[in-house]
Amino acid sequence: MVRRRKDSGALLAEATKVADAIHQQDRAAEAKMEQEVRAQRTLMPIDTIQPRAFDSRPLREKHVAELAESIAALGLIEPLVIDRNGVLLAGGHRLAAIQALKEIHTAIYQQLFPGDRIPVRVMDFDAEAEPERSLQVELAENEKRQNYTRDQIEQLADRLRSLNYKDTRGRPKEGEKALGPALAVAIGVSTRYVRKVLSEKAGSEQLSENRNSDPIFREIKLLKKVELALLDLSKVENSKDRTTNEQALMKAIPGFLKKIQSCLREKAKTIDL
Amino acid sequence: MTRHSVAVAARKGGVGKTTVACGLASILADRGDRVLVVDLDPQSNAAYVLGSDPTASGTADLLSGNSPTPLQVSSNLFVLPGGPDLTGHNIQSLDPEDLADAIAQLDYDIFIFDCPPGVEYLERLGLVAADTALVCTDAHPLAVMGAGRVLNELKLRAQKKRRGAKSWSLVLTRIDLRRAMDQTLDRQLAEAYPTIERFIVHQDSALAWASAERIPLMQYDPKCKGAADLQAVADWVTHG
Repeated sequence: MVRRRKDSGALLAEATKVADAIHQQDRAAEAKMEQEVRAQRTLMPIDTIQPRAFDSRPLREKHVAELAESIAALGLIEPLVIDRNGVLLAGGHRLAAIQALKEIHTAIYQQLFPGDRIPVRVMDFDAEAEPERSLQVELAENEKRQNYTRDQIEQLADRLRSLNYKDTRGRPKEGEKALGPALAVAIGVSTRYVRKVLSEKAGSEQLSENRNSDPIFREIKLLKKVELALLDLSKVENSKDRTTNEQALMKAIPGFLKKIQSCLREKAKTIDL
Repeated sequence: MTRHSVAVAARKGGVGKTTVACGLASILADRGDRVLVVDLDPQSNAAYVLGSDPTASGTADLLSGNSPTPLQVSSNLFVLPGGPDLTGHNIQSLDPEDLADAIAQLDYDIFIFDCPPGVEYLERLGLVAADTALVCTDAHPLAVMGAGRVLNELKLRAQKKRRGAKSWSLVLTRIDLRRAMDQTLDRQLAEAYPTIERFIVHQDSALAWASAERIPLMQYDPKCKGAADLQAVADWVTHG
């Protein structure tokens, strides 16, 4: 059966009508985009940012100090989040850190935040009228911390390295700063996570390269532990009702301790060579 | 000589934007104007059909604040290739007037912006940088719908007195008058948009072959039907 075609003029006219309808949607979508972009990032004078009515978490002084150091090195990576009236929704520690930076390193502060203006993201609602929503924002803000891509983390690490931060494990030498913890504070994740990302990036051969993975160091560490434990054990006061087994063990300890100590001396020599 | 800048847009894909843009560029260059084709399409077809390297640095680089050297196609014809860098976040967040500002320094008589299908923020860069727009549609409701959206946007910008194209016309592409829908298209558009000028570019295999062989139209076949159709468009662009 041959299907009878509709009038092509009517078909084209229909399309023109739909184009007008979609145009309304185009405009609505555009307006929404604009609003979202506007909501994303703006600068606010620091003293117009008001504290929350009640803080859900007390500030940890140590964290504030670490953040201040991180902001001095890297700038403020995540803007503070405020409601439409300028009430802080998320970033209490960051705000305190910025205020601390202003007092301690005024020059760096002025360079980072010229005109006392702080990057903020404005959420278009009233925290007082919608306390539940403001709590949600705060929680979401503290949860989304792992959203940095590996490349972003690597870039931040590079900036820290150029500022003489070192990514070796253990305590940094004098004049150096530890990269892992600094980066962890900056983006609000664990040091462990930062190290995992950085070592994956550098290639897995570096993953376990620390002193403990060297068999000699590991052996020395264990021997020292045994030595200390035996010394402690031999200092325990003699009680009279010891079993024969215990007596035999106590008798053997001095000789065993000697062997361990001579082993440790030998090992120390091999390391020096 | 007055500078002209022309955006070729359709919103719909596959209706002949690049063919019209590059054919028109070839004609205008042949008339003695220095012409630059600015490809806004991430698919980077314009440089390809003109016989240049579509992977060379081009429009995205220009929009990033650099000064890429346009590729020379013939003595008067140059092209800035498009490419996937146009989809980058830094391009998406540009102000719609950034392309208009970027070309202000460049020394050409005529700029032709080959807008991409679908990607509105790129199309808008072209529409805002142009003083004239050619809105292409073939004889299918889907293309008519796409053209309608572009026309509405042009009208809205002009009403708001924003920077951008001040005049525009419809280019009916791939028209084969043996087909019922093609016969009706011109009349239908005249009814829907009575004040907008219309041009017809007939279905012509010479246009397709010039693109496929990567030879500018006026070097491939200056006397073909498609070239004659585009001559009329070129007259309108330069003389109104």
